Amino acid sequence: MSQIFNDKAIANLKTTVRYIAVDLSKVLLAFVLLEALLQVTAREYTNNVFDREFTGGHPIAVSSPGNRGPVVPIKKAPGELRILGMGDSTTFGTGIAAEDTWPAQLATIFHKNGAKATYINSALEGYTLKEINTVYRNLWFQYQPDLVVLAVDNNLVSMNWFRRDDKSVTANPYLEPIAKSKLAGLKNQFKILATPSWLKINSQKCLYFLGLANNNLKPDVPLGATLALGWQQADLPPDVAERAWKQFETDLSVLRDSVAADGRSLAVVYLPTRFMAFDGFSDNEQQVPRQRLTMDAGKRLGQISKSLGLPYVDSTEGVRRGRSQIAQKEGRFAPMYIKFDTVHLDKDGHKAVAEDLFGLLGKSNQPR
Amino acid sequence: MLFNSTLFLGFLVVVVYVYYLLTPHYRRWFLLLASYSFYWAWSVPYSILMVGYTLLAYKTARIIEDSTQQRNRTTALITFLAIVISTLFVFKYANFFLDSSYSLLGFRLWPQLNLLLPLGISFYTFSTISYIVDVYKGVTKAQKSILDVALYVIFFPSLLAGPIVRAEVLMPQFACESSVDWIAIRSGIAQILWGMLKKVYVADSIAPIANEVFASPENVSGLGLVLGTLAYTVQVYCDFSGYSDIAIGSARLLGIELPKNFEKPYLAYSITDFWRRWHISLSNWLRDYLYIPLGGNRGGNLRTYANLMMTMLLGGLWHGAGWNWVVWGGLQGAMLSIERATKLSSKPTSKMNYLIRWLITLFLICTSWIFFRAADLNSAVVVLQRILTFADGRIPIDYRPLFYMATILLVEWWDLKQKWMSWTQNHPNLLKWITCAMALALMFTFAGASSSNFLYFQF
Repeated sequence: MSQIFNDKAIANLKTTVRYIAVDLSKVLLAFVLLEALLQVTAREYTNNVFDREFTGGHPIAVSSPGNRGPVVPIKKAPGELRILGMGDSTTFGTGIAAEDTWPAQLATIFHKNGAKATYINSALEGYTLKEINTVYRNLWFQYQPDLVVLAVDNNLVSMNWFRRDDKSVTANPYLEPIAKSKLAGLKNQFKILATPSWLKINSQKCLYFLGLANNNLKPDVPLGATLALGWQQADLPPDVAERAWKQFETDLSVLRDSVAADGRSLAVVYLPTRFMAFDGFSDNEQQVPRQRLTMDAGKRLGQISKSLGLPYVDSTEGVRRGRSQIAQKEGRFAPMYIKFDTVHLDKDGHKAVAEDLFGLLGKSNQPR
Repeated sequence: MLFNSTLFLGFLVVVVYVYYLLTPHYRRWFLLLASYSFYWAWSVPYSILMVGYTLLAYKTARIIEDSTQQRNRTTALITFLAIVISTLFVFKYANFFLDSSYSLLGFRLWPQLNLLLPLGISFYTFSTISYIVDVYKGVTKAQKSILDVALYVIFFPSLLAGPIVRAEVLMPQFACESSVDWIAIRSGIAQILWGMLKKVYVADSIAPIANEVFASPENVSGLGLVLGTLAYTVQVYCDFSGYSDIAIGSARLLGIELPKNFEKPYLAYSITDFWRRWHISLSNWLRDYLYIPLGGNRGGNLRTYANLMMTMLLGGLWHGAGWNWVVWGGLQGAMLSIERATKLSSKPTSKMNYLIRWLITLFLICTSWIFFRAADLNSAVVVLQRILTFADGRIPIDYRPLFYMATILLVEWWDLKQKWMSWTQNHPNLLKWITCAMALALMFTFAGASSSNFLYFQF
């Protein structure tokens, strides 16, 4: 049998291994230096775990009925002001702790103003208005909330449109037992590292900057924050945004009637997108071409709420005000949104929303 | 397996490394295994077709060479051509002719075929035809080793979209006797990086603009369509020449030299000049195996124009089964004939003359790309109508194609590719780190943005 490997193969292998070892150690050193630098200057990149158990590194604890946060007894305590927060992933608190979501912060504000407020955060990622209504009718109405608030972000409008024909309600995935994965567990051991998340987020920013990732909607799956803003795209029907809002109005009226049937009133708050609330370059990391947006979603929702007779507040100004107040009082820049996200508010953003809602609802619900 | 994927980068590193550890005899087998593995990543069943092409080409070449009677040689050639062309017809054109005949006659001549177009079939069909015709003409010898023929058919760098290499160029290199040549390896890496840059960071960046505009031209203004066409002009060039660079660079890493496929095509001063610079291996193939056998320019002017038209019409049809491709090919043929008739294909005499002719040529090329890119002939007509009537549209204008086009032209004008290739030879250490950084950047890019197919895979 003839020779398979050439005469220099062993020598070449040894040389390769030596070179790779040297170069890998250089790469490792660079990684260590970068990690040290990030740990000192940009700690916010650590703990960036998003999975079944964590959102932005914060544990997802869902109580047995299905709300994120503490268990609330069905029967109210005397004098208790119970807030029911409804919505989708933003209200659920994607990327933040349960106690930082606007329902929790609204309860805190009421508390500070003398009310014995408690909250139920009934939101879930990817919810539609029909699902919110079904879950309300099946579950949350019996908790006798005093304040029922629906937070609307742009994703809720597009999801509501996309899933308009869905008949069944998505099961709450957080009530399912956790399938323990060794890989996920191992991955979470490294959550303290900042470099992987820094590389991932900044490479994504570069992709948007270079045009390799864009905000175009898929005509058959028009999901995205821009649909509610009247996004214009050649292969998308020009009236799809208007139709989505019409659908939203219809479903919102059903929810209003559902809440009203229990003698309660539904309040609505609009949660703006980052690139619409602020003009800065860093506020539009996904390079959304604003010239393609033809609607003011906050105004549109205001018109719908007015026509349905619902108390309404647009938090766009509140979020802007929140940022400037933080800059003035604390001397820091507050992004108001979680990292590299145009829709999901951070702790400060939720606080601004809670303050706006207190302005809307506080006077009529002060303790007597 | 796409060239623009992490999988291919890993595959290439392993193949090149193992290749140089082996003795020449085993290198050939290893290369064959690697090439089939490359194809199997797309489809295992369709690789049987390549085995069939290999056996057929090998046997036909042997018959042609061994036969003493001209009649047998010709019969073997015609049989081979009939088989491979009808295979190509079945996979690529059957439904097109079926639909066309249905439109014309009102009934279907045969049932609709639901066949997947085998990747690279147009390319390896042309390659094998060139081998057999060359053997028939005595230009090249029939290979005694079936391994060489198998490698010629499936050599992975040029398998899916060329360059279409003649057997006399490629087969001798399958001796695989070259030892590690660091100059060639550096040059190969530099060319792969250049190709990746063009494909991933230029062609894929600008593709969404062209895609959107051509997906629904009736919603886009005339100016938007002009810019969309410019976007496609940049995309098609960077996509295909990027692919060719990666193919040529990958082969060079294995010590195998593939011919150049592009030579600054958008700096051409005439359509004739453009076809000397664009997809050179296909242009040469069409010239050598279609235009010249048809008679070339030997039968007077009218015959020459007819031959040019016929060659380019078939060239258009080779690109795709649709009337827009036929019109695109016809336009090329017509423009080549007009240039020949008016002597406009000759070299410009002054810089001003060059500038004017370059601008006209670029305009004509961009216009013809409309037919190349449009979904069908009707869509191409809509695009042209809207451009010519300065139609309004509801989609905001995106001016980025102007920037990309200007960049491409300047890069070509200053010959930055050649400068880059030379620079890397003098800075091997920097090239190593640039390669690592690029590999990392590509991995993040592939992870974050979906890898898009090369445009020429559809052909």
